[in-house]
Amino acid sequence: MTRTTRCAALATAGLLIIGLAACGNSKSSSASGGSAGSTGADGQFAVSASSCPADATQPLAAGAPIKIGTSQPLSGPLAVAGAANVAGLTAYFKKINDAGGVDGHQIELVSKDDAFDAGRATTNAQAFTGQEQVFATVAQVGTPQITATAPIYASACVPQLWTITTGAQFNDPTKYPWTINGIPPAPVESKAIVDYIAKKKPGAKVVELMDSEALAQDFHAALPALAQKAGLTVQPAQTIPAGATNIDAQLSAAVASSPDAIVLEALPNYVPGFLTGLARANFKGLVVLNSSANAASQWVTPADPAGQGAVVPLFRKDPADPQWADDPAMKEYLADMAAAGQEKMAPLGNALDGYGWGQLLVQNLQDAAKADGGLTRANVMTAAWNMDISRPLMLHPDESTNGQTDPVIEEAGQIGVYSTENKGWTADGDWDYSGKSAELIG
Amino acid sequence: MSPNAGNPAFLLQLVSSGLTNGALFALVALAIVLVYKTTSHINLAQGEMATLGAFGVFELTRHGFPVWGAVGVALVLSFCFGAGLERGLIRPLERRGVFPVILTTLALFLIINAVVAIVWGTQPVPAPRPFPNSIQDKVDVLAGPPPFFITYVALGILALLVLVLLLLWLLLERTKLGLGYRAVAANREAAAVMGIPVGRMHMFGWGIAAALGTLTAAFVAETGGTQDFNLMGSILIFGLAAATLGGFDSVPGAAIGGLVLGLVIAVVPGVFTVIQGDMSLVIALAVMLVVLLVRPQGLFGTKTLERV
Amino acid sequence: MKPRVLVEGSRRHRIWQGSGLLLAVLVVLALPLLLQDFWVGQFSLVVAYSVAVLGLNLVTGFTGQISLGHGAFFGLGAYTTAILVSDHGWAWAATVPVAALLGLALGFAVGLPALRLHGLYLAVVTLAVGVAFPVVVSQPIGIALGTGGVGGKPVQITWGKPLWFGLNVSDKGWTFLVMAAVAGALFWLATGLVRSRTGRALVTLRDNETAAAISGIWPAEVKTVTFAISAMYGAIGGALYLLATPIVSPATVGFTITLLFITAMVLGGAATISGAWIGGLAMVFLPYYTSQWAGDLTFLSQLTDQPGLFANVIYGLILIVFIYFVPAGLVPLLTRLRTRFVVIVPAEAAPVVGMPPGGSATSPGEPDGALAGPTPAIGGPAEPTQESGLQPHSYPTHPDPEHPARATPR
Repeated sequence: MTRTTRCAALATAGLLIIGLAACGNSKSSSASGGSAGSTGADGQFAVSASSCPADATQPLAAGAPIKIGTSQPLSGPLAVAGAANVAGLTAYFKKINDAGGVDGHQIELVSKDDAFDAGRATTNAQAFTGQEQVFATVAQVGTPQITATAPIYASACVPQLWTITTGAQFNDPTKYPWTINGIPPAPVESKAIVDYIAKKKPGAKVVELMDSEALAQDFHAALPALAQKAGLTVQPAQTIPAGATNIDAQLSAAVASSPDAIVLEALPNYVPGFLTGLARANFKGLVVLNSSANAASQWVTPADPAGQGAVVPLFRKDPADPQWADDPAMKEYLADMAAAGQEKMAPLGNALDGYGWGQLLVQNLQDAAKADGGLTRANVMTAAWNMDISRPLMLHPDESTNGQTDPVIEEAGQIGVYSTENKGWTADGDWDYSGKSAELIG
Repeated sequence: MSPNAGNPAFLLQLVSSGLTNGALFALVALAIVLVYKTTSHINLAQGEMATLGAFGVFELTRHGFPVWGAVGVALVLSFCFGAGLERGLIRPLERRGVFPVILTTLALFLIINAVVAIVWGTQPVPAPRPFPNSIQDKVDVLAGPPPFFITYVALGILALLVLVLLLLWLLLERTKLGLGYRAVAANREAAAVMGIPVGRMHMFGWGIAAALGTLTAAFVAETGGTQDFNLMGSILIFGLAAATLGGFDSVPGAAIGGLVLGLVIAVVPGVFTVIQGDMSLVIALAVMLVVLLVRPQGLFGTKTLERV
Repeated sequence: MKPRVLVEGSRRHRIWQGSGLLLAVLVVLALPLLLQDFWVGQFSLVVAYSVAVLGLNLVTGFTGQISLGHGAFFGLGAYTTAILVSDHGWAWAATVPVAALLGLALGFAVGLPALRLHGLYLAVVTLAVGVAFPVVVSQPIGIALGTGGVGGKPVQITWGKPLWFGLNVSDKGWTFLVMAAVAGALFWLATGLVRSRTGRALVTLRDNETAAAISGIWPAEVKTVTFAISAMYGAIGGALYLLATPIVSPATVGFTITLLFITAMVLGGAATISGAWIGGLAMVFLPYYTSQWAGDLTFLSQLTDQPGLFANVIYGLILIVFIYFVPAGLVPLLTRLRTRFVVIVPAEAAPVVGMPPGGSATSPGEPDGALAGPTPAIGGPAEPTQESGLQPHSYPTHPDPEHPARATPR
């Protein structure tokens, strides 16, 4: 066939295909699918199962295991967080299984690797809702991953419980009824930071130092507005370039205008350089970190004594912090980790987080088993939106959610101030936005 | 324009941090150039090999070695590793051309990166400190705000660059080994005819480059405070840009290219804050493209003549 | 066993080709009928990746230009489609020409430095472009364009199966079939390109640029055009990707995927068209299975707490093994296997092998698949890859005794 004939044939074929595609009822929507929820007359938010497949409201068969799926970054840069999450979940599930499981069902954890890639997270979500037929999923990390997988879980009506993201958009039961977030979203943490700064120095000048990760974007979207509402002045933010071996230039620009507080909105890798640099520049104002840096022994102690007085919002107890050595809840956690063969991971904060997600999940399962209709996926999701739980491993153990009015589970904690003497955080005040987080998110 | 543009301390700080950054770029570029001069290959696994070396230093210090001793041992080991790689993995592919070698270095990139993460975990660890790196280890020049000071680490790195260049100059210009190396770099066939062991010169080039890489990684880690398996991931592309700017076959070019690039990346976004966000990589890319279009051999490279 | 000989262009050859094509169509139709939605989704990904890898084959395998930034083209197409569909409500099909055009434009822009550079310089430039693309996308300038920054750009494209379509496939299956049709058309176009005069120009340029220039081929034109076409294929692959995955993020279109594309190209066969399919299959199923398999082996999990990392080691090892031992890729291997049973012989050679020349003598093209001979780009001994099993009874002067496969281009 000559080239012109081939091109002509191709053009015709192309038009045909485009026509087919167009006629094939192609619709593209950017709304998340799945069923919405509603707040009933009793004030309780319930997930609607009207457009769900039938098995969403069918109770789990007697004796069948409760399959819980989790898609974690098990390779790549965040592999440490992923593996630790799985370790914590495994330990807690083992503890529950050894005690007889939930409502007579044993819990089975299925973990898959998504390498912190949205595409692979999607593949995993399709597998979980497809042939794996999991009952619920837990602890999805990363904004792009959650954005990609939330619609998949919503249309299959599989609960996506206790995700890990600072993105404020995922704490909305009307938009994402089948997804509930487990850590404080950036607006909540920003408010804790802003209130503390305003308390210590009313009308302070604040500068943010950001990198290009999603965490920085989430914080930067929330903090300036909240700061202004609290009467603080916000100065232009500095960005850390990707290939920079040192952040001296950015720190210099940040301290140039003599701010009263500098907030690091970046991954904790930058913390040692940040603290040392500010100490060298004789910065006398408030140095504020975000909660991703809460593992003091890992991020702050290496820069000793530069970290003296650094401030961080904390919401859970750090397993590597010696002050909790005699805490009964911490001892129980360590014992459970050891029983599951996970002692090596136990001191990692992410492992304690995983353990905590397990606690939340099991409470959801137990609440659902007692509800009308029994242990169904819809009931589990509704239970997640109406939680009341006490988790002693959190700094404020009593936590609750309440549908639209209170979609965030962790909205209280303490401000920690680093002390070089103790090589750890000492508490300096609490922050508690229970019931108010919905307003903060806006 | 940045509001701090008129502040001398701020500008000096930009220049200082740019030069420190640039010195590290220069060291990476030197490693790339040293491999390229003799073998005409670019080792894309340079960064990962360097990370491996930095973790070697870490491991040795963990077992009680004094820091500089650990650095020395790691340098020797890296040299052997680089030379061995050339002999074992790259040499057999020589006759096949450029692309198979690049592919092999890419494969090495993958493998070494994963191996480092497997052996030492993915968690960042505190970096060893060859230069004193506590808060007071600096030279205060101007008081704030913002103050201008030069840390001992920064001085050390710049001094190291000068030392490395000096040693390289001595090695290449004043020793027989260096003469052989330069002969192979100038004209491989003629050197082979003259009896210079070309293969051994290749191994030498790779070995020195690997050792340089380890040295660089150790100080990149110290500057940042922690190290993990992605330590040199983002710096490689800047090293390549620096080598392009200076000329792929020029040792002084690599050094100057690195310093200039570091300066540009620090000063331009620092002063012209209209450049929002992190455009350092784009700037490096722009520099690279301009150089390649206007003067492909770089500032100091030799123009290659193609004989038909 | 004596292989059966087919003369190219003869009716028997046409039947062979036709049945091959029919088999391929049947397989494609069978996939959504027989498999669950999850696997159909995986094969949709294969289709998208195959188109992108094909672009890389064209520029690196056939033209010998090193491209280490293919992820940027892929990302450009994906983001174009994502932004147009999500923010401006376009139909997916309408975004494909836009993505293709933008890919062409970027390919030209990257190809221009290629005029003056070759080998390593080009590698460095393309590497820089590939690394810079995800960075630019996540910067304020990218966010202003609508890329969604670091968080990625979600896209929901759902097609309902049209009523007139007879086969009982799900909506996902229908999407897969449309994707396969688009990809099939693109592959067909590429095959035509490679067998045409332009295709021969590409190969000549790769093998000996000076000789090509002397023969009247303008290297500058060919190089830029090839880069542009390769980028176009990459961009269309990116647009197809969004039919299989509902999101694109900077991390997905960075250096990692470029490495995967290159590995896929080498695996399948850099200088082949059909190798792109094998590359696509490898890209989807290899990491999936290696990380599963690595996670299952208990001794590996004792070695490290992140067994998923072994997937990368395996990837690198596969790459090295292929570079060393199978530099031409899998497709030439498979072709050689096929020649044990069926050998396709060019029309001019028919009398030599004792067969009547059949079919039209005016139809050109390579006898075996879209091979352009062993590719010096990947290297490997210049071994003839076909007709080695043939023992003709009389062998008068053969055009090129050493390289029968690389006989005069026709």
